[in-house]
Amino acid sequence: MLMLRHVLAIAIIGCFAIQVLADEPAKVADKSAVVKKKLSDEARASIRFFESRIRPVLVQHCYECHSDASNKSKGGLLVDSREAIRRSGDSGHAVVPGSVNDSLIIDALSYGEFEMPPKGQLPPEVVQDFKRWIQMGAPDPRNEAMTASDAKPIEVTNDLWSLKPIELATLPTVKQTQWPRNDIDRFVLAKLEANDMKPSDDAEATTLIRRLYGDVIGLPPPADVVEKYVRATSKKASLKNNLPTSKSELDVSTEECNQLYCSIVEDLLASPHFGERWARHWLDVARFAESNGRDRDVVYHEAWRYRQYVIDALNADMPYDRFITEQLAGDLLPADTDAERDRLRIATGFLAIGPKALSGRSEERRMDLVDEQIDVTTRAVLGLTVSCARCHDHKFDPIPTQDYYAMAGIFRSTNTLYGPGITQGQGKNGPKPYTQNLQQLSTSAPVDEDANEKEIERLTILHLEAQAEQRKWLKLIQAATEKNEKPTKDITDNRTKFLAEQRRIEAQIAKLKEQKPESDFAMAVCDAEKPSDCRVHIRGEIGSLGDTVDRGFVKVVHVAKTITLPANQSGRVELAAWLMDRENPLPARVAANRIWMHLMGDGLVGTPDNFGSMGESPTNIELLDYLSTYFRDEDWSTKNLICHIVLSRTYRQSADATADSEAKDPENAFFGRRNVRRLDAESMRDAMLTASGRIDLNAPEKSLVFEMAGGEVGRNLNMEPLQREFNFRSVYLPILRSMVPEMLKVFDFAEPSIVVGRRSETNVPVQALFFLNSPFVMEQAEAMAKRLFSLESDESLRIDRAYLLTIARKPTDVEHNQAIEFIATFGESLKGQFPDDAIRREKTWSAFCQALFASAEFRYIR
Amino acid sequence: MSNYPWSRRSFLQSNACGFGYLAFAGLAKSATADYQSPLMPKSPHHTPRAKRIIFLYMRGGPAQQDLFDYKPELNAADGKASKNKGRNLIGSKYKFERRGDSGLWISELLPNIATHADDLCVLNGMHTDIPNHPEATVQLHTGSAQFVRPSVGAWTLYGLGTENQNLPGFVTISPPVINGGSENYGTAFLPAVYQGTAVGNLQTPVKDAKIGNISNPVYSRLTQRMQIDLIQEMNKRAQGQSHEQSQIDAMIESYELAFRMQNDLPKVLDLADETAETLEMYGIGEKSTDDFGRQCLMARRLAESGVRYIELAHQFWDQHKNLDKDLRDNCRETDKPISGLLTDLKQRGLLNDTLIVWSGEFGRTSDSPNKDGRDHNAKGYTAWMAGGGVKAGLTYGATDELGHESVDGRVHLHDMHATMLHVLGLDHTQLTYRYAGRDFRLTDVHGRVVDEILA
Repeated sequence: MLMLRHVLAIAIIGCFAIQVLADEPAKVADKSAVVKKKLSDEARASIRFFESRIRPVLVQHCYECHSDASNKSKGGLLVDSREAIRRSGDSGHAVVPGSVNDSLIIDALSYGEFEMPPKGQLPPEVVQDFKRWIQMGAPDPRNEAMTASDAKPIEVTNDLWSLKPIELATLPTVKQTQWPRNDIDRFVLAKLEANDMKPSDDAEATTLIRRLYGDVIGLPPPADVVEKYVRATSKKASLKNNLPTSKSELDVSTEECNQLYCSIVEDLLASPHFGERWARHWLDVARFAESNGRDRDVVYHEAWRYRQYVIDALNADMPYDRFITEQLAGDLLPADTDAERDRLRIATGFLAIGPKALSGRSEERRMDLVDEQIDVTTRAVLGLTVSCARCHDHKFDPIPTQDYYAMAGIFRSTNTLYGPGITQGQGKNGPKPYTQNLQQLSTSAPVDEDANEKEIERLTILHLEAQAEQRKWLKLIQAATEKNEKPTKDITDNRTKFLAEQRRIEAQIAKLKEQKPESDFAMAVCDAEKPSDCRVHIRGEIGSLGDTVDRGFVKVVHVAKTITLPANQSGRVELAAWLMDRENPLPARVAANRIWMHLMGDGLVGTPDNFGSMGESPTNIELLDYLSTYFRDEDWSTKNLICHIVLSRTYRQSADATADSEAKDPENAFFGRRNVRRLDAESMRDAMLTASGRIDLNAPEKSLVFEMAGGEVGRNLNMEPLQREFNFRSVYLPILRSMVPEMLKVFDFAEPSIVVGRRSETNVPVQALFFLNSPFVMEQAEAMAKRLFSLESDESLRIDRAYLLTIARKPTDVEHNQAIEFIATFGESLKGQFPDDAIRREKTWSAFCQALFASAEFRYIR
Repeated sequence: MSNYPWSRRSFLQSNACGFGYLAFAGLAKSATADYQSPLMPKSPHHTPRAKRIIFLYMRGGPAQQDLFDYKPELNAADGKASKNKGRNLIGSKYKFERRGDSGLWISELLPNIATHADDLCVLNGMHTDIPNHPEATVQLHTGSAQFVRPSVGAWTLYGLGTENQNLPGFVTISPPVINGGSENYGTAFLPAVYQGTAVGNLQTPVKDAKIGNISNPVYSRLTQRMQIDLIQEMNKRAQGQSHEQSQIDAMIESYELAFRMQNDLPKVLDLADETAETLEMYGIGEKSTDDFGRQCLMARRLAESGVRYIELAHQFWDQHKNLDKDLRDNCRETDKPISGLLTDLKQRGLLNDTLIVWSGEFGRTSDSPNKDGRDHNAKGYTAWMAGGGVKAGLTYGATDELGHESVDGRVHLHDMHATMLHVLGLDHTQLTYRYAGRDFRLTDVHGRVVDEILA
């Protein structure tokens, strides 16, 4: 019965909906059979001994007071599972395998210091059996599935494509030899040709430039760049169409075009706006936010430093392996200067900015924090959901619980400095200091806590004096009132005076306690004082501890190098070394796939954060491995890979599919055309601010959230900073988890509490309402209308300009005429409402600009 | 899996995982042909008993011992030491009576709701996990206090879509801004389209509530139509080939929906065309009942108009002290409005296919260190349901004789969620969404449909 209960618990508890198994039971069962055990005859015999001599005694005499089923664990002891019986109770270990003297159960059964069972001593033969059993090593088959320490080494089911080494395929031969510009194109074309398809034509000049700007820096292209490129391409086109021209002239022109394109690419990659664009992709994955979210949305006033770190890292094209290493272990890396030391500490904000439980049992909170860190690390870097193995072996991927707790040991040996936590309800101690539980940065002046404390002491005495004085006068007032007399002015004045004094001192004390710093602080992590290994938490419960697992990594990812963890450090440096080892195929594949996805509109693997068995398989593994190899061999350079992709002919294709390719590949799995994509929320907002001329392309100093200082959303938080006009790029918008800025939210911003490699792209009425009615859009439209008048005096040129500012091209004749007609009739309809000509004209042009913002062409990039 | 619920690729994948098939069966063609909104009505798993839910959220923990859970032994032991150190038992001061033909025990604090006893299904054996407001609030709304998960309303929309495309499918009136705030009507990993639309918040009276961007501050409806016509002309020109056609179609459609929604939503929430009798029935115009009365009447109008999931909120049921005064106030403020809602839904024939759920995030203790107060109790509390699908005039479950914890007919919060989905025709084990490589459910691995209370 007991066995059955546990087996059921294992089957039911877990993070999987059971019906997942329903459709393909055989396949799934096969995949989950990660741990296979073979018992020797000797082992079988010892298990038989346990079953015949030990278990019956435990069940009959002990379970009543020491089992889960009885809901009792007297003396903190449970004996109904192997883990439990070996675990320490309040008095010590009941069973220490191999050591009769250390096993308290023998003492108790022999009625020594303890007397168990209390109802009467068991016969000496039973005690002898227990001694023998402990000498045998206390073999115990209970909870077999939960522990793997006795198991033979894990047999890895190596059929998961993503775990196989990256293999660089030979460059495929293609029929259309003139088409490819670089090797990417060969891989794409080979796939298309194998499916009897052809690539699409090259994209039009304006389309391509707008696409390139959007993808690389997230901003619309300036009109002069578009014009220059259009001129170059139209020259080429006219050469092509006028047959008498020689072929060589056409070649020269083609080459000129290409060179111009390359130089634009180069400029964009060197632009500081590149980092702002690509940082946001990583911030989605890193579940960046400036507040805690969940049930207590406490602000993280220092989180912005991490955001800036990411932007700077991308602008500097920091090698991706270094980028990951710094975020996991920056605090443990050597630094030559204080500034470098600070930068490295800020990098570890990656581990500190997640949503967490701020109240509740501390050990539970700690393990939840560890879980969150394991989850974000493994999904972001490996595309594996290691945290699924918190309560049981991973159901689909070869990740046993042991491996989870091996990693947990690393993070559990790490202190996470995420700020003061809950600032409300601290009773007599007042709000927690602003600087509590943060990393002070080396480049800033230190806070002198001793001096602060002394000052607080001094002020406290003054405060008591003022209070006593104040109360004395108050009593006089009350005495007078009781006698129905009016207190004298002297009395009331004195009371007012000392009350003011008292309040003034209170404010001073509060300020000192808050320690709003002169110094700089960061969210970060550091090593715990005593790093230690973690025990398996059976079913993920903190009260149910199993074997201790050496700190380490997920074994299914093999690297040849032996990486040993130091005893005196958490092991995060080694964790990063293991993760980013060249032999680990996952990080390069995951990162290359994400970069491809951001540029091409879809991943080669459709599930960018899941490269496990439940994820999708790549549509073109040769291409993915080619990109991964390129990425790794180019010193993990993000910019080089982006450059390589956008220079490919594949990237420069038109979105217009041939009828053939549409029929054969409706989902465009083989990238035989451009994917049409909606602008993300940030790009849309930035584009409107650019068109209106309001955009401030500088990076703001710090963040609006920094200025809100401490507090919790909805509970006396200073919201004033959020009301300010904010014309910086959208990546700098304040991200409070429970108050994501409206526009971002409406347009599918990545939920900042979870890892999001790929955002959804919805199309719903609230978005239309946003464009039709929101104050933000109307303000930008109005500013843009004013700008049009300052730029162009002629109506026709204004219309051209409006198109250029919003969708980077000039209107067609039809569009032009339509605009003129709209401006006339719309203006006419406003006559009653706005009799003043100038105002009416402005409102009319605003409406026209707004319509351009609201159009499909503005929202979709082809 | 891709997060585009309407792409053909994701349809093909979700085919292998239970509900995905049903949810997207109707959308199979849409990736290549005409676009269909993910909010269009979808087929449920089984015959539904109700089409919509009105969730009456009593923020905090209503004291069940003083309202629905009659505890004569507790009352007799009033003032005696509790089994919990330093606390005395607090009997209820209020008179309980058997009400209606069903004989449900309801206290004198809820005289109007008591007249509906024969419509109520009172769950006295409720329990949940955490006796703290923040975590319990989030768990009540999303099923999990530990992780960020979609709200019940979002799951409902994901599973069923909504009947009236001119209105949001999930409306939350006066939601709290703390204790999870928007997470309580958020979508987490579900697509954002299933997000709840907030009308105001709990810090402002609902009559001053605003819905973002629902009307244009400058242009009249007529002039705005001209502007939309221009937008649509541009959009139609942008309609290219079929693979992008669906996106542009969707956008064109979204402007028409928005244009209708900005007309329809304020109209639905505008109580001006209600009769004086109706307003009176909800207590609108009376100081104490005006706010919640308006919420309740809005709920009826939204229900009538085909909104799938409606939540109202009243605060603050948290009487550690001043139990008598504050509880009386809370009851006064909600009793008549809720009674009005039940009456009104019934007379319009809407109660049959609407499930009403009344609940706090937990209940209150039978003992306290204060004479006039009760603390948080997650181990035993009362929620009630009424309307489509549940037995009327039933008391199900019980706490122990002193009301410390539920002992019989125990219904965990997960069970309540499972039952709510069941009533709507959804199987909580089949309503899944794949995220991060696994199929998530509202009830995670828990939840039991409480068959005993189903009609």
